[in-house]
Amino acid sequence: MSHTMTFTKTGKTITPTSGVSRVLNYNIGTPQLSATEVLDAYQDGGDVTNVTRRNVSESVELILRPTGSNDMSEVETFIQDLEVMFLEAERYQKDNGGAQWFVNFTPQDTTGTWRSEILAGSVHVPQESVRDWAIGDNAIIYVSLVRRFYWEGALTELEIYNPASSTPATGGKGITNQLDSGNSYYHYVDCDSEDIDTIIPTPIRLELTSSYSGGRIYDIHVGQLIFSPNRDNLTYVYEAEDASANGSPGTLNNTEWSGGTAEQYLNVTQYTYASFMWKWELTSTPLIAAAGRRYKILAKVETATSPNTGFHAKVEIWLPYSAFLNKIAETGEVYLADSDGFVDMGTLVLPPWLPNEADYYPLGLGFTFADFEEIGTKDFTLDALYVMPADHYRFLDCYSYGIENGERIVDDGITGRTFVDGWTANTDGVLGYYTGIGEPLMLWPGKDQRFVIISDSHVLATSTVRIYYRPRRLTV
Amino acid sequence: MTQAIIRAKDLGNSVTIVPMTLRPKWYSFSAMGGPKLAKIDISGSRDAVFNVLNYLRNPIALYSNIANPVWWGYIESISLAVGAVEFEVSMRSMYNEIQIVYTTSNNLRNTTDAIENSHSIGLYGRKKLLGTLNSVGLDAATNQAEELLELLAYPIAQTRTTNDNRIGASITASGWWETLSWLYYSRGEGVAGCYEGVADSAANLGDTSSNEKLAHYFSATGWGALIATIQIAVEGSPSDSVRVSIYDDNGSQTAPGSTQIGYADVTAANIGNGGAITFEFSSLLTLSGDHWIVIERTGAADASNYYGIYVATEELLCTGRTQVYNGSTWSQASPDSNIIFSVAGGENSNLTIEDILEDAGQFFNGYQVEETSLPVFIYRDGDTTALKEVLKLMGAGVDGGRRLVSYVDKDRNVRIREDETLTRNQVKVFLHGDGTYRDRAGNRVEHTCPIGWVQFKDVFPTSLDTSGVTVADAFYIEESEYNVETGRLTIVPRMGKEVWDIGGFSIG
Repeated sequence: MSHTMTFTKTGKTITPTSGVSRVLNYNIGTPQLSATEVLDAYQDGGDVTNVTRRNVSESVELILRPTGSNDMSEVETFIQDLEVMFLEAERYQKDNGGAQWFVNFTPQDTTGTWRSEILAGSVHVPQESVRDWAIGDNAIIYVSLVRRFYWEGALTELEIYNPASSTPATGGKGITNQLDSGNSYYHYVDCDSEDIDTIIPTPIRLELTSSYSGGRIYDIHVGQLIFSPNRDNLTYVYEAEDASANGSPGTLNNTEWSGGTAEQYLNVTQYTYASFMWKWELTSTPLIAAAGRRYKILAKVETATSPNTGFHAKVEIWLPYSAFLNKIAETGEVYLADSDGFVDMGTLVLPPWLPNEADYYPLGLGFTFADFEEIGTKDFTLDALYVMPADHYRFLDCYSYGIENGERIVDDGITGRTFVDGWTANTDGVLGYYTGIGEPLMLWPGKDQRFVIISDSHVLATSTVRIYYRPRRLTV
Repeated sequence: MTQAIIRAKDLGNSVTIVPMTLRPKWYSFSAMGGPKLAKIDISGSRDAVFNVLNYLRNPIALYSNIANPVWWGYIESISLAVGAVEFEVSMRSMYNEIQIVYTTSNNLRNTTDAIENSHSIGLYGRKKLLGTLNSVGLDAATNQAEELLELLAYPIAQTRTTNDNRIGASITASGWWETLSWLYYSRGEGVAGCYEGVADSAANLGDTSSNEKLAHYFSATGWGALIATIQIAVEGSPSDSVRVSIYDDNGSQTAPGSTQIGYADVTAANIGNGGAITFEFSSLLTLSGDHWIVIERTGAADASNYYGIYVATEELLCTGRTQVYNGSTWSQASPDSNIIFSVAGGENSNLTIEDILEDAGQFFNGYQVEETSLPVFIYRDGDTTALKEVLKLMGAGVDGGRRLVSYVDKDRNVRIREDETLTRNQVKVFLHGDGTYRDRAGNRVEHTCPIGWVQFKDVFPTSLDTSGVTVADAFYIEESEYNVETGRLTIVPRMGKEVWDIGGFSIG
């Protein structure tokens, strides 16, 4: 058995290893590294803060001969097919015209075929090749191509699970729009390192199909946790009812938001600028699990019983929890408008200092009033602060109908497209009214990972998650 | 990766689908307004690139790799290079409301009615040009306004040919704060009195007991008096002071009432040879309805050393007449006259700023301005843009405190507050010797443009003598620009005259 190589687009294949062509040599390239270094003229060494890989230029040496008796038209057709391929590939890169072409390679004695997208290329026919054909000999041509820096395998569904369905499997896992283990509501799915067959990080295709008949799902946040030493030890939700209030505690009110657990109200007139309204304790265990990574803090506010309009707030980390004497870190000051759903309060690094230690002194997490002056009596209603991992993060910004029961949103990092389908019982076509913001979610090799998914919808909203990826590698 | 999202021109939430690739190059923030400028390169087919011309003034926002909004504003101009031809279409040259200030042959200032293009206003928002034209009449000035509106109501493509042969396009986006320069701010209230007449004689004050006080009626409501100005001269060498008071009315607009609302004194030495003298009240005097300005000397009557108050006797333009007090009763001065005076109102500057934002903040959803306790004049003639007016007030700052700084958030809410002072244990950003900016815990500050105090971390040797330097181990970033491709920050320190490149990155 030998290596096999093809060039393909949808509906067409060029095979340089059969017919008029044989591959004499394929100089498989390696992506060049581009490193960002931080240097200090007065210090030895320096830090490499970022490394990226460039696309690959490589060449293929082909020997061509007519299969018939000196019928050069086959050779001409083969060369012209290659040139058309490169033109179409270039145009596809420019404006999605042309066609998406791939070079496919299966190494000898293996079964997997790896492909890499062709970005540009050319065909070079040396003078002596024309002479050789003229006298009926075989002749050599050279194909130069620029392709992506990686090879990718077949589309593969990732095995995922969560405590509500704890066996890793394909076919979809259910999530609920809140975290409440007592009621078996989970807002995440996990995958384990042994189920990930990729060598380098690879984007995922996330599919979310609504299974909730009580209303629509609108904006969607997806936070990915990759680098935590123990993803189960992180605290993902700080419930309002678990907070300690500054001054008047507000009133407790039972609502349906968290499966019947109590919520807090807060009268904001009693506060002055930069005084915390509620605080929670950040204990050592979740701080260890947080591993010094970035986390988005989403405030879930509700207008179910009273409006909560018109003031600024921020989230802060203080030392110590008991007295809030020193502020360690803070988000920006965010205006809490008349909203019903998740408000992005900004990003915090957790723990804010000394990552990857074995033990931490507890800190305080504060939800802080940030208006210059009191603003009159208004009841602010907070359900919880959601801590969203942000090793990778996608915000799916909905500016239309959202998705109803049975409808699906697909955030496809592989193709770079975000779309909705499934209107009218899966028979209708795709719609593009979601905008994906943020870099694609990337599946990392060798890491247990968690995808936390919440949306502007009812807390009892359920949906089914499926994740796909194409394994990637740098060399075949 | 930094991502650019263009939203609909109507400021709604819908995203404008653009058939092209947008690559942010850099973006900047300022202590005045927050997001200031951004540059975004465009690539795509020629049709798609030209199509971007439709997106002028559309909102645009930039997001970091984890979907954090890092910059926001509107598309201010678009540059296209197609072969050897370059275009630039900009909001800068667009004006859809025109008014001309003109002077007539006798040098009197006048203005035409403002004319506007309502379609353009509906499309882009209101943007006014106040032009000037000297020594012409109303007709000529109106013609000028109409011609300018015809020319400028929509963005004009500036075109030129070059020796280059390239294809490229870019967007320059501007922060919403800058749109305060689109409109002028005027406020007619805040000044009262009799200031349009021409003084033609002087009424004696305090030379005899028959003219102990002079007074004149005026009306004002809803603002506080900050100063009063009269035209006055000394006769002889008086050594006392002149007192200007604000009184209530006696109920019939014929004489001052019995309640003195407030007063201010100026010594004779400071009056000198005469002219317009300003009397500044120690606090804002609340005005409501009918009032009187009352002028008296603080010393006894003196036939040789007294004061002259300038009045108009020939052309009486004001409501009321000069009243004179003889020690027991008020009577109308003879001949009939108007005292030439003005009472200028004030309010705390935060209220004026709020009024400016209310008036000219056409794209803002809301505002919040910190209390300044600093009285400023209310009246504005309308010749200055709202942006200049508000910057002037922000520069004056808080009474006894610092200047104000402003920030427009991603939802276009404006916050204006007193600037921070350098408190070393509260500095949030540190500049390290390797050129990186880090927070207090040592985490790198990425994708953001820091504004405010920055402390050097390990740059200065600890042995440095800093006794002669104002602030040696910290500086204030007034503006900063983040280069998306290199991660470099370019900063402008406060009061700095040159741009400093600080970053320390090298690309290998």
